[in-house]
Amino acid sequence: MINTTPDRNSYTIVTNINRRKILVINDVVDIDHTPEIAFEDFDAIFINVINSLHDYNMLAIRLASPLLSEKCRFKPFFASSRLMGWLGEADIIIDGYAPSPTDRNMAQSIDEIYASMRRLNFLLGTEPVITHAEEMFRLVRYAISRNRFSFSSEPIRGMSSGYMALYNYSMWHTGQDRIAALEREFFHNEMLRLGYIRHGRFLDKIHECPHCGSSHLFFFESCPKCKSSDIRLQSVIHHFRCANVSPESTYMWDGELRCPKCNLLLRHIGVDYDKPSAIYTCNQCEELFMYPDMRVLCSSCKRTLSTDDLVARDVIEYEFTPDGIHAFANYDVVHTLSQAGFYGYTSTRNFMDYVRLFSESDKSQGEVLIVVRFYVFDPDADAMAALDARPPVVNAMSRFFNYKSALWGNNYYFMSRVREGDVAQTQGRMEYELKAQLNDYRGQHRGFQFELLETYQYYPNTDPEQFVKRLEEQRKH
Amino acid sequence: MIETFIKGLLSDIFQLLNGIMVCFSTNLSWEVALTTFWFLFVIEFPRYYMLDIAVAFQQIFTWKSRRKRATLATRMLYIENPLVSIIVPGKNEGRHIYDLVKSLREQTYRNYEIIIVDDGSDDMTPLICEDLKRAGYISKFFRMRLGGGKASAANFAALHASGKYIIHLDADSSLDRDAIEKILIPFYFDRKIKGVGGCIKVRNAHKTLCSSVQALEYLKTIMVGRMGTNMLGIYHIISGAFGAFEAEAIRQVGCWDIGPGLDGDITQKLRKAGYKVWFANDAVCMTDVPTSWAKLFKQRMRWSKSLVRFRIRKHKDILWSDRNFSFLNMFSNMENIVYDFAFNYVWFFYIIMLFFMNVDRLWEIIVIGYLIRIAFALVAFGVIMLLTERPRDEFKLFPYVFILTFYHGYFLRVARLIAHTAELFFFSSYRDSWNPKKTSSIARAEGI
Repeated sequence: MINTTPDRNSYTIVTNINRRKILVINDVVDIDHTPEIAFEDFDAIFINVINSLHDYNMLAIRLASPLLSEKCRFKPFFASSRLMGWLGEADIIIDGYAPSPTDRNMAQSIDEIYASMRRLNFLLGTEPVITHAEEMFRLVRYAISRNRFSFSSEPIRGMSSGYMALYNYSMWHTGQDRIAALEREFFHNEMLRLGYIRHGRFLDKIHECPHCGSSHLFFFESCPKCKSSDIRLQSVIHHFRCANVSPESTYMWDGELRCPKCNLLLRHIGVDYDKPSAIYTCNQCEELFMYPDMRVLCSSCKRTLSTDDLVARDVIEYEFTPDGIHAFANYDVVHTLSQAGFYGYTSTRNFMDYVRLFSESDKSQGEVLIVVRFYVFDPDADAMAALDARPPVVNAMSRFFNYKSALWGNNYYFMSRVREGDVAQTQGRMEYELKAQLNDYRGQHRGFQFELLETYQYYPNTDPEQFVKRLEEQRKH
Repeated sequence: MIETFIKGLLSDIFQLLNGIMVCFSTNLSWEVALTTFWFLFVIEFPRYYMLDIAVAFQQIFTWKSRRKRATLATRMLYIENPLVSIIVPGKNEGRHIYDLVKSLREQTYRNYEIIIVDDGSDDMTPLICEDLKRAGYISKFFRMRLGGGKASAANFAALHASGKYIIHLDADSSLDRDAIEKILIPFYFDRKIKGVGGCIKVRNAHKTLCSSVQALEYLKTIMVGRMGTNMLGIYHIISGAFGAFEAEAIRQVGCWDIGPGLDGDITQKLRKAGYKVWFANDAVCMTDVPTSWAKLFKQRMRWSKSLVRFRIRKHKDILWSDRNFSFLNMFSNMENIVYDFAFNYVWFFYIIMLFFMNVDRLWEIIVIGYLIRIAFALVAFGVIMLLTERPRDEFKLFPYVFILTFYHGYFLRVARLIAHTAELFFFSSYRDSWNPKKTSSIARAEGI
């Protein structure tokens, strides 16, 4: 449980030789929700949390992360030398390690980071993170602020298509589903279209599960007849005298090799017999075969597939164009880019596409979509003013897994993916939280009205078109 | 100059014709002909030509009952619809495999699996076969890194066969559309029939003179000849190129033993085990034959050696002391030994005697002997035309009837003579490169 009122000792602000103010984190501090700390109060962050619990340290880092925290965004981020090598994937956002916050080298590094940001005309900005695209946007800007101008790619655990370590770090859920991967691809394509990035080197070809898009696959050899992987390899013995050829096990006789056809003892390899080949035997169905089938187990959807089913995909390195670097650094990015993607607040079309995508996704995962429909109305402003209600609502919804929201006329839709067993509980929670947030908003904006109209549940084994049609029809009433 | 040459030539021809005329007019009484050509009349005619005629008569007079039996057996075959394993052992046969599987896909009988065993090829065979397997043309493909000889490859294939019947095919052969069906039908004639041989015909019949003559020979000795031995119940060789066996029965007799001549060997093993074998003359398999005389000679040497090695040596017990002794088995082996082995030596001495006794009228002997053989060959050709299922194609081989006599009467006999002698005294089949040395040396030491 995070202590929201931190101790006095949990953080301190020190000044280094270059007169930079450094926020030293000694314990887990929720910086964004600590009113005593302001954005202007510090220039860099120094993590000094040393706890025997790894997760505890990670939490401290996450809450002060230059990527995730609003107050710390893009600021130089250092950690105590004692943490070196212990941070795992969080290592990617650490700008350096230092023995103390006032270290001379660290002071120099901080100045270098600010200098390079100045060279790029980098604006720290105040943009909110509402959509998933905006989250990626923040990520890209962070990369540029640290002079990382290409998406280096490496195989990463937990990522469906092993891509850009920064992405991996930014995900709260270590597992990642196909839809998130599609969104990322969508974002890339949008950036490509706008000329912000270009194709770099070809890196790799990876194979993905056709059902869930995961590239975390186990390959194993199996019996071509019964598909079992319970197979063993043994030599084939050719007995010269009688031309009998059969697996070694058929010759085994009381510890000796004896021909099953003529019953003679085999004494000498090369003289009595030789081993011209090797053969697999299936322990399940007794089938003999020379070439086992290659089968693949998808670690995320648990399906067994043949190698031919896999979808091959190129992994390409992307680099930022000078235009792209300039645009992102100055926060001068075309507005549509921040609207791209499915995740978070999206267009109605994307919202419906998500339903279709979900229906294609793995049915065995036992997940259900819950869609809540509100009617929102603001008599003083035009209909689109309801858009202003987005930030608080998104904030509330971000507590639910893989949320989506869309505004369609005066109808506000919210969606979340839920496990089948948790439907009733999550539905209640969603309705409650949304109502609470909109209520707050109503308190601040006179005249704003809202009403919970209906809650829908969508099961993936039913027709998505029918569901979309139902949403459309009910909107008119 | 030219005039004198033409005159000389004309006089030579006249003298030859005159000689023939004289010969016909003075010497050609039945007694003289019989005493001079007794070998042809007493030994060859009854076995090779009388029997053909008898086969023709038998086929003509029994066609109705045979058709009835075949209809019934076909129905039984399709009611049971057993799985058939087609096994194709071979070395460096990759280029033939596609033609073979193509002809197998056209078969009227559909319930089969194709098992190919590559016996240590050193060419592209494994790649071709793996490709075909991936494309679904072949059910199973096995590769031996070390070649072990045809018998071992066939045994390995038989080990993997899951069908009720096993059909052994040579990779360089292809089948008529109904060949598989036709070769399976005899199994339903009689429960004791455990092996059926197919009829082998020549695919490259019109390639060279050598292959054309062989095409005719195959028709005569395999198609008609085996119909004859089958009729008498002494059919003794299920061709390796196309033969069907009941899987259980050949596993009982231990499948194939070391060759060369393993097809004759396994037929004898089946007969010795008390089973019957059958010849299916309408199950036609086409195969490529050697196109040069030297290769043909080598092939025939190898075939002939197996007679001494298996019929005279390994399976000599079939003649008297076999546990399942049967008169027919003895007779079938005896016929083979007497006609192909013993009478070959008799022929040799007969030719020498003929030569020395008639030095003065050698021309007559040769011409008359040739004419008699032509007459016999025409009879045989007539029988072939009567019995074959594709007379139109095979009539094209008619001109070769006039050469067949040299081929049959001399070429094959000489090849056989040399092979038998070499095998009898020098065991030369154990040095044949057809088998790997490692197996041959063991076989020689064990006397098998």
